[in-house]
Amino acid sequence: MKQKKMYGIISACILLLIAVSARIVYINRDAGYGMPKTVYYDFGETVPLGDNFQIDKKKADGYTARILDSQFYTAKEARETFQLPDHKEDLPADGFCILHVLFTNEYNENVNNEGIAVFYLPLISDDVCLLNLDEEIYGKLNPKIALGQFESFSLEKGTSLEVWIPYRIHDDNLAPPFVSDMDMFRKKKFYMKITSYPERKLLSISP
Amino acid sequence: MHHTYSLELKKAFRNKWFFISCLIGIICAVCCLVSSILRLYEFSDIDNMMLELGFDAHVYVKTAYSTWLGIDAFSLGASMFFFLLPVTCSLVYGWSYAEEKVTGYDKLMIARCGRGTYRRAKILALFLSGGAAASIPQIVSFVMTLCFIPARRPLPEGNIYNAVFPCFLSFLFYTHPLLHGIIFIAIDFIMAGLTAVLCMTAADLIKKKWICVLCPFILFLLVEQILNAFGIYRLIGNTDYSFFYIIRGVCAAARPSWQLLLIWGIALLLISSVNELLHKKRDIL
Repeated sequence: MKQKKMYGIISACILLLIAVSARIVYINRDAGYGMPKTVYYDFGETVPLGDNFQIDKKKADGYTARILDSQFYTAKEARETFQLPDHKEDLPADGFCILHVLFTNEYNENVNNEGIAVFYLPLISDDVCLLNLDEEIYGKLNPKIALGQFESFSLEKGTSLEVWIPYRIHDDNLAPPFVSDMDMFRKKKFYMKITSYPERKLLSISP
Repeated sequence: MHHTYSLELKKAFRNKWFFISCLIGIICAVCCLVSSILRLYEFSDIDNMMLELGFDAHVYVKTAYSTWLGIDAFSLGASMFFFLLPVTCSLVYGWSYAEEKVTGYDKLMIARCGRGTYRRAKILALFLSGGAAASIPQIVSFVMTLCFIPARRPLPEGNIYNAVFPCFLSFLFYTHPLLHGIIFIAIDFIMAGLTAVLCMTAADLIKKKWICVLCPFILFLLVEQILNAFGIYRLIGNTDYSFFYIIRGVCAAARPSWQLLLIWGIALLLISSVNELLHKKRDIL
């Protein structure tokens, strides 16, 4: 009787295992479907945005991007370097990463509707994503970009523009105990994501 | 000697409190799963809305790796599980030594196999049963989640609220998420095991068995309150040292780091070791 009960339990367990495995295989049959293909590019490489979306369905086919330089600043360093006014004593960030990027429009003729969505170019590392841009520093560094074109801009065909993009680094992302905040970030390998789908193009921001 | 170890392990794993502890954990896991599925439906609406507006929703990747009990940062189930973990892992077998002291069963065992073997067997049973009470619900949760949500590889820009830098092993979450989950289950096994062993120390001081079971939980709450009250946690890094948060593989309210895990692990080990040494000394005297 006891042995019968044992066989019953073992059979039930095996059946449950088969059912669960079948369900997991079924649910995960297309887990890779719809995922973007990630392509990495070296620092300084000129990369075409191509027929890919940034974050919205508007594309910027014909544009290229090239990282010229990248610098990390603490809030104090940023205040001194960019001569921010006194009322910005308490900057809304603990540090900044400032990218110097060259955008070129090689053949896109749709100037009014397509361009570079600066605010949707996140900085990505293995395990962190910096999304927030600092409006004040952006405006100070990019006087050529007209007011109201903060989120995006477009270029005439055959023209280029150097843009400085300041990413905020917040305290929330920082400081495990016993380790200096900015040093951790400076040691990390970051990429700027210029397109998200179907190709996820990541440009290295440092050599 | 082996008989004592196997006897204690049998007593630890074949009692109703082991099943009750696992059941509490599994109920939390089910709550977590239900909330994750509801949240995904909610986000599906947002995704659809975004697609209608012309936005590409692919960055908001839905994956089982970010919604199971060990890594979920939002659900009540996950929060309850980790908050109650010191109780559930002690509930399994933390009461036994106090009970055996009251009934006099411990004297019988000591006469048969010696005090050292008896206590070592008890500690091993406490450690393994406590660890099992922490890891079984997490494994069940992971398997249950895999049955409903696909296991896609998380992207840093799509899963910005889970294991983000500088959480301990956060890079693994985005590169080898399964390994990340396994490592955190193993960490929780060890921490819960060490927590359960604290009940032995409590039983040496207190006779009431249910108070012994609650002792680790009360101790952790006290430590958290003291650290918060005096702002000690701000002295070395701006983070929370609470036991309830650092055993989670997610940056929920605090960032788990290997240093904090090591400090807590050593502290728990030290309390039990000192108690054992004192016990040995008392025996010799």
